[in-house]
Amino acid sequence: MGLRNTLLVARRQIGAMREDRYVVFLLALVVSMGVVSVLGARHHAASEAEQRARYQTLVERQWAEQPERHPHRVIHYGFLVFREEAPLAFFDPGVGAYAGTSLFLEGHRQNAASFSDARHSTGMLRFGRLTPATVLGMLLPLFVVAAGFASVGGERERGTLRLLLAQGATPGQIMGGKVLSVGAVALAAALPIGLVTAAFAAVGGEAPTSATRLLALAAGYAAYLAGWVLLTVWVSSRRSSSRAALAQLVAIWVALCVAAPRLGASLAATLHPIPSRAQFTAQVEEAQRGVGDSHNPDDPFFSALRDEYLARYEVASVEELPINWGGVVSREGEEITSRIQEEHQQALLAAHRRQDGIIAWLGLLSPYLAARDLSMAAAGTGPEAVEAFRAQAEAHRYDIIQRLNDLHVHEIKYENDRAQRIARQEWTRFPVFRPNPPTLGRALTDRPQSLAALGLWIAVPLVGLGLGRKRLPRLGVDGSGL
Amino acid sequence: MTVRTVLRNEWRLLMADQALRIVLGLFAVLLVYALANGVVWLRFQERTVEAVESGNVERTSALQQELDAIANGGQPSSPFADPRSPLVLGGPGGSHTAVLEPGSLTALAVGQSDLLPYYYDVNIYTNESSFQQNGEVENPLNLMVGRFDLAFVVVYLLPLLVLALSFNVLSEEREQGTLALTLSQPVSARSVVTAKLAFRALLVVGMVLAMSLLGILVTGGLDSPGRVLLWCATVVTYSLFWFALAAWVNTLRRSSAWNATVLVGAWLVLVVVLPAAINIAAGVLHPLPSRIEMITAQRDASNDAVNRRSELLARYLEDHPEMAEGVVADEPGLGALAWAATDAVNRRLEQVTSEHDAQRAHQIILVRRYRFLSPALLAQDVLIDAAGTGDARFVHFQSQVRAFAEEWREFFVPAVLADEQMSASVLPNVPRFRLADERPGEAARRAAVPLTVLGGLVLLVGIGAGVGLRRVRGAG
Repeated sequence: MGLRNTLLVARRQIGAMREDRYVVFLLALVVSMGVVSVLGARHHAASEAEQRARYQTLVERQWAEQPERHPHRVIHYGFLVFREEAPLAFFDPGVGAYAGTSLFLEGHRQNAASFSDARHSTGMLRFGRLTPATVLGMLLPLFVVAAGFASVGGERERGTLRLLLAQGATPGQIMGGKVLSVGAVALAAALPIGLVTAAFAAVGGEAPTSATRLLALAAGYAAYLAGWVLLTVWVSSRRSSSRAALAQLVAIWVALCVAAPRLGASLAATLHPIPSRAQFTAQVEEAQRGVGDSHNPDDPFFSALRDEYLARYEVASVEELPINWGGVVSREGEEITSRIQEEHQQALLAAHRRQDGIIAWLGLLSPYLAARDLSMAAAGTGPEAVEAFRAQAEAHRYDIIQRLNDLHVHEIKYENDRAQRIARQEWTRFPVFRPNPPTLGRALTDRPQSLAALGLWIAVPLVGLGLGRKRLPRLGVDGSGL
Repeated sequence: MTVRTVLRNEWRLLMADQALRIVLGLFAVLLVYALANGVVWLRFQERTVEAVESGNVERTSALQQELDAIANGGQPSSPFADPRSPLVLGGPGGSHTAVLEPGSLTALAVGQSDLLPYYYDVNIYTNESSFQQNGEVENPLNLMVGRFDLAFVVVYLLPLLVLALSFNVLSEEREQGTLALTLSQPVSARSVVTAKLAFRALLVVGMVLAMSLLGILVTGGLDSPGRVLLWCATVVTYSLFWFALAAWVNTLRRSSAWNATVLVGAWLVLVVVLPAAINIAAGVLHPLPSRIEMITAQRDASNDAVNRRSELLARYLEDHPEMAEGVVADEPGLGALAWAATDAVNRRLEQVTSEHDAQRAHQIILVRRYRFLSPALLAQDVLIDAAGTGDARFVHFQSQVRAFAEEWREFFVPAVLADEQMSASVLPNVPRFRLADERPGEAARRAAVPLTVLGGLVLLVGIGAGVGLRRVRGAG
């Protein structure tokens, strides 16, 4: 009986919305924008991915086809890696456009990834791109508001609310029915976008990882939109007029979806300032000056190291060592400079993470921030993906540079060092860079605040609806809203 | 009933509405916070610029000391970094950092200044790829979102305040039955609505301009009155557009609720949806050429160049006879050979870059035409350009750095080719970067068309509202 009433109310509401040309028009608009955004973003991502893959292959072939070379020459020749976008980047590009896309790996230094998309576009990009994620995260909530702001208030204004109550429907059943119907309309808008996304993701290959990621995305957006549906019905039931409900809901939407992201970023930047690049490089150089110059034979650190090697091999001069002293200096120098650079890099990243932490906590106030965060995590395009690429590229860099230094130590004689070469077959024995993006589980467990925020976002209006249930018959009848 | 009575009445009515008082107060708080944010960012840039410039001075004086010490019989601190070598003195160790001073209204509009580099280390090895590698160490998440500055408040939030204040200027009077009463007085509907809107416009625009001027006074932006004027004109025109739109919708004789829905819808489409849709359409219709090609071109060129150094040197000397003075072409030094290779790589890079840049400039012209579809895009574009934080000023800066790098090479390369050593006496003559900032008229010239279009829109919608208002009769 109870469920039947709920469904009856829901059917009534859906019927009313179907007759409202405004809602139908908005539904068509949102769905078509969502589908267009999937197509557009997919087109962009596919051409970019194809190019990066092509050039990565080219760079790998050039590496393997190097002629006979001295290992130190190869250290300076270096290697290029390109950051592959996650398969679902077309759905939510995340921070991808604002991070570098290629990284040059060479000896003696950690380069920063360069060529970010944003720096090569116009200022217009700051308005944001219409991606499937923005359609679902920003525009769909507004559609939910438009579809549901009068769901309860409208019945009251027309006097039909009393009629429903008189026919035996309880306030709980009425609210349940309204939530179901507005939710159904939201689903009708979200489903086509989700299906098109899933279809493209399936075509793109890598089905097993994409499937769980798609499910995570679906679950995240479902929870986020469910919160908007509950909030809309709740506000509609509390306000004496549906016009006031609409004004309040639009104000909430502007605060949560438009103002909150910028407020959050500015707050984070003020609380945890980040050094300028000039300052950062100056700090690294300062620290490196403190420990020793591998290019300077009279440097105290390297003199001590030389004495240690001479004692270990029981010889009087570096010329008599069974290994190449030049290679040893290069290897030790690389270790020191890499360690210092990595320490500074980690300190900088810690500052970035503290900033992201502020925004994560603000997610408890603005579910849009939480949903965006989880969306990036599920799509594999969050800051952690960019950082994983950087860390793995650095590990790869250190590995190949030290292999080259080992070749220098063992395969090149100290005497007449520069004239010697390593055979070309050796280059093909080097490891190939295959980045390993962070797993979905890892990305999600790193975001407890955002997960909690979405839970809270559903719980608060749900509790509000539950508590406000008893007052529903009285509200508005005597003209008092809240 | 006179216009003054309407105004006085309006003030009382507005202040009696608690919701409106809260909205106005909140707007004022957001303005203050936005300005504070902008000032924090400007101070950060100023500190960076100061540190970078003192770095220039320190590097020069350290080199001076070392060169003096060597002249007095001392040894260079490292045999690989002998400052007498032009490749060291003009190289990374002796580099000069070229700086773009923050735009005079940066505190009002951060614009692109958090994304685009405002300083470059220039040395003899500076080439096109150096321009790509000067990324800031900023958090990408913050770059993606952008800063909460006055420009953001003006472009996004101000229209909403305007709409909240004016969506029912006429419809409310009709709904409350006061319209007939008002119009029974010797006053037209047009002058009543104009007075009401003028009052609201004074209030909103006054708040924004007062806050802008405060920011300008605090940060010393008054040095460029042209930019200040451009900023103010854009704020006024953009606000007027939304007031005119609200007036026009009010003449359609619908309910206040309908007005509110339509106006919020217009805001959503013009400020949020259209710009985002334009960005995606631009990416599909006018894709920017890939930059990956530039990276690989450099590698190819440098591989090739190393193997053909002598041949390249001969060609270089043929092309640059002014550099050949004192060069022993039969027995070139290692430095000269290495330079010939470096130069060949630079030329190849310049060729690839200029093709890329030309393509890119063409695409950007096409993309920028779409600005005219949304007043928000137009206003944003002019506001950040007026602030000196738009793309154009950074492009201008980069082209000057490019010219400066050329000047730098012309100073050091002859010594490299002749295998000469340099002494402390050349230090005062080493090129120094002097920024020739845009002339004040430049930004105004770029803003002329967008601002005229925006003004034309205001006029068009305003005329529509005026015509509609003439038809308003007391009995509605």
